[in-house]
Amino acid sequence: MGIHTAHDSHLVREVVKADAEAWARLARRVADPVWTTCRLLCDDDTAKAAFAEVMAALRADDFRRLRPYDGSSRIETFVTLIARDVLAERLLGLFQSPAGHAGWTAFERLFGADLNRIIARRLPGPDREDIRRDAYQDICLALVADDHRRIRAYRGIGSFTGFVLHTVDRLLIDFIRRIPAQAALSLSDECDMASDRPSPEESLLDDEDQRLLAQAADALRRTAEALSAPEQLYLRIALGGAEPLPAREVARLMGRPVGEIYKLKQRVMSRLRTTLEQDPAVKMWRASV
Amino acid sequence: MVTPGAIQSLFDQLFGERDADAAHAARAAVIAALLDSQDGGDALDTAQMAAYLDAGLDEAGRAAFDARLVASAAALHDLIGAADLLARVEAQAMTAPAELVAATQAPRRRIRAIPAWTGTVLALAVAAAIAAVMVMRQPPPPATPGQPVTATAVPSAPPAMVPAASLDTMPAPGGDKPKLAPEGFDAAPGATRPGR
Repeated sequence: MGIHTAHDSHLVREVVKADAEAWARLARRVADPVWTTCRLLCDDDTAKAAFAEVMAALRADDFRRLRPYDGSSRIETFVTLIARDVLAERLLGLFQSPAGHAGWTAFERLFGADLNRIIARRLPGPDREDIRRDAYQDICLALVADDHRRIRAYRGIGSFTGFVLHTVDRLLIDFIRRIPAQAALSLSDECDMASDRPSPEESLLDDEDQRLLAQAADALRRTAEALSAPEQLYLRIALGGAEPLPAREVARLMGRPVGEIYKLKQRVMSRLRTTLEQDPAVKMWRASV
Repeated sequence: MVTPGAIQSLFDQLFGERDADAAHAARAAVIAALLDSQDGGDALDTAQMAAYLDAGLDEAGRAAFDARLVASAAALHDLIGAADLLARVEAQAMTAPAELVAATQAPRRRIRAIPAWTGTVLALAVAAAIAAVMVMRQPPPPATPGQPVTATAVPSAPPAMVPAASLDTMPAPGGDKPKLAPEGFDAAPGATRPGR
């Protein structure tokens, strides 16, 4: 472990013993990351109140949120994630209140960057700016529809943030499914600009493409299930967008050194190649593209 | 969740082929749902997530966390969102206003949470008090025929102490007429007329 947290761990232990001076030191220590988080995730005029709320949440119930800290991470990381949780719970409260519409502005502020990141991963490239903008609007409309039904559908199972981001990703997938012709138009100069709908032949080909692709994906899934958990996770993260994620980025997400990710990648690719190269479904799909 | 573009990209890497159709990545026919994990909505522990992202878990802990991320797409989204936020916080670090920090550093009055049993105890105490009042306010036994309904004075010895304000203790009024108190500065002891 390359981080030095013994001092922080000791400090938190003193804080939970209700040592007022220790709390003052900890508050000073984490104030900047908490403030930065509030500024990034809240409107300018609510950031101060949000900051006070997060700091109060750290002290609440005899420092309940701080107690699990055992020095396995930097205190800044831990507290920033707590701040994120508190702000998400605050947002959820806004949606559950009678004036739920008031939460939408806060929602966009809290999750706007995540929406853009997810969209950019699925629809990368400088030539897709218009599609990304459309996708953003489409997702927002879907989330607002029926008095924020999709957001209110959260039933407290799992994290609210994870639930929202997963919902956003699924809405994005639906959006991509609905716009084959428009997407192709924006990407290919050879497309017929007179019509943005696929011809019946093109639709037929698309259906065939989808069928073959589904079979290839099924073969991939079967192969992936035989991999170890870290290998499967690598595959999910690396395939989480339309373009493979750089090893450095995967390393950051998986909390591992870059060198280890390169080895992981080599191992995964080697196993997939060996298994999938001879798979009939994969062969057919490769022949079709 | 895996898209056709991602699969094609993977196969490009696997077999060294070049992406033949740039539009393919953005086409519909996304079969991500096929590869998506069955999501039970796993709530990642904040301390564990922080430790995972800071490479603070041991090998076993990391593998267990990997498995949870593989099993839940929502959990993986949660983690990626957290990692993204941490990167933004680090890149755009701001200094908290001093007055806000000072306000949070101030010692807090310790307000103990009221235990749940307090209400029960309070209710029992109130019930006991009401019962006591009712017992003490028992109605008098019914009057027997022939007895007066109202109490009659019983002759008894005079009280040892007379009331402070009874006529027995008040001095008899004197024969002199009451004198009015003098007014003016001359009458007040030590007073001097203004201007002197």
